[in-house]
Amino acid sequence: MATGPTETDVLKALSGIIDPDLKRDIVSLGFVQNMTIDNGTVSFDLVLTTPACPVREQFRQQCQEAVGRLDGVNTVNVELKAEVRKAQAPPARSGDQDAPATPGALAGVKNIIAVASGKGGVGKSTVAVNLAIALADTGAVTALMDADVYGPSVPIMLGLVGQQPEPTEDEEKILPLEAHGIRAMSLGFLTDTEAPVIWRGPMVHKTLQQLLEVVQWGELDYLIIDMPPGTGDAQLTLTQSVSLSGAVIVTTPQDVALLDARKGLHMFQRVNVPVLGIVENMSFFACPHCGKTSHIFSSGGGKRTADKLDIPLLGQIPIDPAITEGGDSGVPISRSAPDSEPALAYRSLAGKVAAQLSTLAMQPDNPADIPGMTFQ
Amino acid sequence: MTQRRHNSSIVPQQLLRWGDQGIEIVWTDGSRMRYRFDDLRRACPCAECQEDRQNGSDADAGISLTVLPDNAADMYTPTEIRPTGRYAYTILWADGHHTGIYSFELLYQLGRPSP
Repeated sequence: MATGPTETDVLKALSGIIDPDLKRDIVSLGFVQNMTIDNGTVSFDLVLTTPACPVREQFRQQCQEAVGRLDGVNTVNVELKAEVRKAQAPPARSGDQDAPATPGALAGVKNIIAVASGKGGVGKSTVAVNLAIALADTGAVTALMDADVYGPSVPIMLGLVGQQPEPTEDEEKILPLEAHGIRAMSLGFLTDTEAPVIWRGPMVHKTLQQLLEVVQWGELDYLIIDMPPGTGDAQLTLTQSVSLSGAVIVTTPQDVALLDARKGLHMFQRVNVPVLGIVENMSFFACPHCGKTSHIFSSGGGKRTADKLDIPLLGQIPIDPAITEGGDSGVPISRSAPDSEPALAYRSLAGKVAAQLSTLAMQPDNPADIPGMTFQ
Repeated sequence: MTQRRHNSSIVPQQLLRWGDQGIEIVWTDGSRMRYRFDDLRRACPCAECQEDRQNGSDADAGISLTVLPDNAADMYTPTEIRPTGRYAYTILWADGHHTGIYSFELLYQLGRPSP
């Protein structure tokens, strides 16, 4: 009687499958787990580095083909799972009450992504909100922190205006609100939406620190921080006090915006935060009447800048009146029109952001391993 | 002596104790450097300490004497060296001071080569 393959045979067959982002085979990456071989039926889990993996179905198919070709195999069951890897610096271990707040408060957060722009008005918050929702839709636990202290727009965009966060049972912390599958916190929940925030730098610094410290985020795969526009005090506070895993820079295609995007890039590079890439918002307009595409703010700017700065262009989001409507009515376009072109663009963006973060997390010299030290 | 230049890819690989007096950092470029705690504290880059140092150098010209607090030794005793972002260490001191963020660039300059 013919015997089926051994586990070694199966692993050997699978080791020919290369992860296109990590550029290593899926066996040495440790993706293949819990294998059972029973009477010609081979079953295993494929544990990816993110549920937002853009090539997950391709992996499944490749696995089935590779193992199916082995002698004595009738059925191949591949279960796709994901375990998001941590790309940020390790949390602090000491219980020092006086210490800077962020590391401990964000200990359960695997990846912190800043969504930034060099200037206002490029749709940064819209991108942040929809990116968070698109990541959450893949099954990743995702939260959004609105750090735009001067103009918090997340409450409106998520339809949470007028709601206030509840304290935890011990009244030590506050719980984030939830909407559209993501957790969210904004200064807008805690202040009057009509009143402008008129603060000097130190006040902004303190408020952001507190906001980060006081929120009980829980275990998160991704925390998206909607940064204030520009490269001033508040941005520096965040980049200097939080272990950002990476930053995404939002821009529009015209040259003035791109110039500012460059400034944003340099700010992150200066503090050693990896810039995952550029998102070109308001890329083009597809006319709903004639179907023709117009490049209202000129074309190709995002691509040119990305090439010049040697960072990836992660996505191009078209202009669509539904985006604004969605934002203003509290139902982002990723929810109100999930099959629209912008929603698809956001989904692709989420996949690329997640893939970039996985790549960073898997690098052997990932600075997440920077050693710390406590003294008795 | 030629000083090697720091770039952002050079980060600490190992952080070791150097007796009771300081620490040793092994950098990813292979260099090993030593730091005394008191030197580190005196080089604290936070705005407050920088200002104190500036004012201090003016005051030295006069005849003012600094009255040391009871916990003066705590000033030079770290409680934690904590990675901050991907570019710096925050050093927490026993006297409660914790606002100094020592960029790797700065530490790379401050270090004395390990024999």
